[in-house]
Amino acid sequence: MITDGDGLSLVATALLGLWCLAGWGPVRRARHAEPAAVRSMLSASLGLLLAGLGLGLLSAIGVSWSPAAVWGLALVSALGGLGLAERTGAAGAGRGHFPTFRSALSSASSSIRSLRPEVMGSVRTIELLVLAGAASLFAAASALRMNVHADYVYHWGQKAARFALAGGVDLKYLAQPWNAYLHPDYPSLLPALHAAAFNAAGLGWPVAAVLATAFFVLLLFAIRALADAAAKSAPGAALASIVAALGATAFAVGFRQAGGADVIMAAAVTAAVCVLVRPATRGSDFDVAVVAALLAAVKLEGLPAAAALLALHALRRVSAEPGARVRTALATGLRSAGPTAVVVGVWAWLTFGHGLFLESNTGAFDAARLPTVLAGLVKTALLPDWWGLPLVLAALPALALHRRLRFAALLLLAQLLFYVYSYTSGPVDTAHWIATSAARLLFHLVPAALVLAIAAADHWTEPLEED
Amino acid sequence: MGAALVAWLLLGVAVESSQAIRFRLADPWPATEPALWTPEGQHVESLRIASGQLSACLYQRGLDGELLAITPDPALGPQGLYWSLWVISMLPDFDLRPVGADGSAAPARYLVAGAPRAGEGPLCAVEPLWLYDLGGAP
Repeated sequence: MITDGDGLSLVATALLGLWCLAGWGPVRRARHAEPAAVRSMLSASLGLLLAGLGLGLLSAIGVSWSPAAVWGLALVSALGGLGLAERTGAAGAGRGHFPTFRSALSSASSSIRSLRPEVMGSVRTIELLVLAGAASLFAAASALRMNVHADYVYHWGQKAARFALAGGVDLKYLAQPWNAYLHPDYPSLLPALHAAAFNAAGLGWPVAAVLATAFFVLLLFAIRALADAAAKSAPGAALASIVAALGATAFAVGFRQAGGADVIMAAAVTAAVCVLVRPATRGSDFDVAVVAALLAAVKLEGLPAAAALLALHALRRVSAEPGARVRTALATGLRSAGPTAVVVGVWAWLTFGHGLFLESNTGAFDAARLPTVLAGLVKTALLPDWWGLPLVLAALPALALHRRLRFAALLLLAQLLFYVYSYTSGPVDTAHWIATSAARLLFHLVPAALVLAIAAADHWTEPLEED
Repeated sequence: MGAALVAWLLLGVAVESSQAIRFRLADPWPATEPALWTPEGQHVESLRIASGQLSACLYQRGLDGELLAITPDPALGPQGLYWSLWVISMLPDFDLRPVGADGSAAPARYLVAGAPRAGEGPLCAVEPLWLYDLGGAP
């Protein structure tokens, strides 16, 4: 029996810290010159991915996710990441053996100094305070069980508990026909992370609440990074960041999103939009590689988003280097799509190789359902819990006219169209399906769309076709 | 414009938080964490699947562990009914039919009848569910 008091939040937080450290080294090595918000976003994303892949590897070779195995894997990964960061820091800065720790301390010190009374009025400080408040509110709501996601009860939590008890991915359990409602064909990153945390820190909601908060903080990092990249001015970036963070908080608390996959999906989509706004350089191939793999690892809906991100990024890179189209496209594709190919390959092997794929996930496009789908989506956008925010999605075609924001808006549009296609093709009652899922799916898109819309307004004085 | 938008969303955060608090206070979340349930052979017990934002519903199980009835929380309206039906529709080998309908389009009570999966013991079909013990028969 899992009791109410089981699960130590601080221990789970330490485990999450180790996972993120594992991603910190490679990101520092590849993207050390990028803004802190971008590096944080990428480090956390990569760390979670590496943890998921490591756990999958343990499961594949028959090593149980015992506390020792989970902590051992996390420690080895974190030390590897730290070592990589140290070597990068020493080589890049030439300041001895521990420049990373010094720079981290210096950065923390600067952050604290920036909160002195004379700068408290600055717009970026207000933004930071709002983001910190948003994270705190979500964390408190999660810890107090005010916003437990239905799908945590319905399938994510069940799979996680089962994996924790089984010590790995329990394919036999997933393949049982009466477990179809558990979505056995969903990627197993989320239940695997939960299961490992359960075994390391205790099986109970407090641990799941820590993971939920971490995913929400990742969303806030992505929002801030996107706002910085997309807006023209500091006040514009701050406003975009504040609005998106408040909107995400209102929905994620009021519509109860802790413990599900939609927060981390929103974070991954926002991160994808961010990398499509930032300059398309060879270095950005790394960013795309990390974010696309995370998208593919989170939910089935992430697979088309990952494909769209990879395609749009390749298009941008080719456009940026018109002299070497084929070579550039191939090199970009190889560099940026490799991790996604690994994630999708593992998922496909597990899903199709073990009979987990549900036929209900496929169906033929039925145009006759379009009126029902569109009416359902409009009704969803007007739900009181959304405070009108999804209406910003109607601006995506206009945002796609803006040269700087074009590819980012196209990604969101492509994902929105995929959702419309899914609703018109799934072999289930359309109105019922929309009523039970559309509000959450819109959450994947709304934070990024809000930032883009405010950024576009910030660029208002520029001609639409100019950067 | 920006200030108005921020003020609107601050109101949104406040309202949504207060609603979440009310939901939490009104929700008799069980003293125990949801567990992988194993049958213990009680005659009748009330169980609930808390399904978050959309609904909560009451289950009753009979002597042999079969599901007897599912009662969506009437305060949650049609969406609660939707969600309850969605959950119950995923349970195999059970036949769902409305009973006690008062003539409205959305009857408040549904009877779930059917036999457990043959050869796999009672309750095997509901074993994987998180179940919440509300402590006694309704």
